[in-house]
Amino acid sequence: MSEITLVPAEFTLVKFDAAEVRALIAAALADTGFPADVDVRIEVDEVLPHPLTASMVEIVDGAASLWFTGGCFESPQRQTGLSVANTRVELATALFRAQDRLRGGFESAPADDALSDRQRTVWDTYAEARVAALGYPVRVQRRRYVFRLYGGFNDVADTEFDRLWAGGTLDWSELEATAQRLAEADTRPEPKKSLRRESLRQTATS
Amino acid sequence: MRKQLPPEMLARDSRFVRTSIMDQVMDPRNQLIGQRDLGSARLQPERPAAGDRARNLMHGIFTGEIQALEGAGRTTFDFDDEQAPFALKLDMARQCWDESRHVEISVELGAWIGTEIGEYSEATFLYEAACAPDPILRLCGVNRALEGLAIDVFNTMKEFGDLSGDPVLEFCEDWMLADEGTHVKMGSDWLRGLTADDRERRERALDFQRTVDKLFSLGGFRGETDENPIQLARKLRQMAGFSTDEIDELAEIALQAKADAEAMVAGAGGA
Repeated sequence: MSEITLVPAEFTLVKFDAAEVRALIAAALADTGFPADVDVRIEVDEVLPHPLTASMVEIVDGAASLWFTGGCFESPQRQTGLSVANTRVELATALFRAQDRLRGGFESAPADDALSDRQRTVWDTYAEARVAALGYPVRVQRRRYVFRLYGGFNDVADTEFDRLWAGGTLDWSELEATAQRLAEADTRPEPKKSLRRESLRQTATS
Repeated sequence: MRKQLPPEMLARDSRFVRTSIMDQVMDPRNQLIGQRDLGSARLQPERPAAGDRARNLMHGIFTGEIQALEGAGRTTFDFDDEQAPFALKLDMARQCWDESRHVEISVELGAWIGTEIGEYSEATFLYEAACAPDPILRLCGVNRALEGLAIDVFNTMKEFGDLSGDPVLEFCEDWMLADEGTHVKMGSDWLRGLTADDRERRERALDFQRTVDKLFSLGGFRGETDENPIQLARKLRQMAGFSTDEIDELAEIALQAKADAEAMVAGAGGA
């Protein structure tokens, strides 16, 4: 039986009930079919509020380490309160990404902080499509808009999104190829530097 | 029908969730966030969580438009022709039509970027600026302060659409932005016209506008530095009739609002 660790063990800045979050983690692990023999550490940076949403997934020595801003789990309607729906989706999406890294086919994928915005958005879409298939309360238009932000506002991006959302299986080389097709169809100037998610996590240690 | 409708009586269906400014000001995370080096707070596609931040702002625009509609609507009804000339009410009626379109456009834009009515809470401080008992104070609060804020917010969103290559967002925000210039001008014209022989009343109205402007700049929400998500749109404000001195004063008010919020947070942390 694996060890599931929630950090912090109790929340002090936000009104998240740690027991409720643990129950949601257990449900997401079961629903996503997460391997029962893999330890999971879930860290929530409760200082960072909604709408500062960001997450990262790492596999360290065979264990999964998931990091989220508190904003990922926070209710947009009740400041510092927990959104069960958002928490379920965020957890399941990250767990699917962790499974991708664990199960093979993604061995050559760079660490999350080295992914390009396009690669990350393709991967998130691939993962969230699987979450949607579970019947979780996913907002498809939210995901589509983020996909367009990083993939482009054009027909190629919309076609790629629909393909990913329709289901199927990807490995890293296919994911990279999808990101490459998006890049080729994107006429926007390249942003100078992506500061999308990693910078938020680094603030905790700066 | 009741005149001078208080904010708590605004009609909303079950999708809407009300919040207060104090919830935001007294959030225990504020002080700790201030200690983090989060970099620029500008709304730009390459910044962290750009999609969710844009959705949040879009929903805020939507509820702001509802309250602007309610504010202008109340002004057509709350005053008799002695207190507010018929032509002023006619201007407000026209503004209601503009705001109604803005509400509809904002709902559609919200759907476009992936949010929906009621996903985010609603603060009513915009409408509260429209509750002044003197129509001139109300016009200063709504047409100069609130609609001035709308210029800054719409311009920020328009730039976000431009930078991200989103033609729908950029186009829609640009069209709404054009209306806001007209609304500000209406407020300025009526302020001058109705207080031409009453300097004291004009000063009271401008003082009220400064108070509302400070409220709308809360905690560094608006300003001219990288720490402000909403940037003061100097050029567009000039086109809408604000003088350079007025814009400079507003920039100063924004800095003061940020300093006040920081002091408040520090005080709450030390309590």
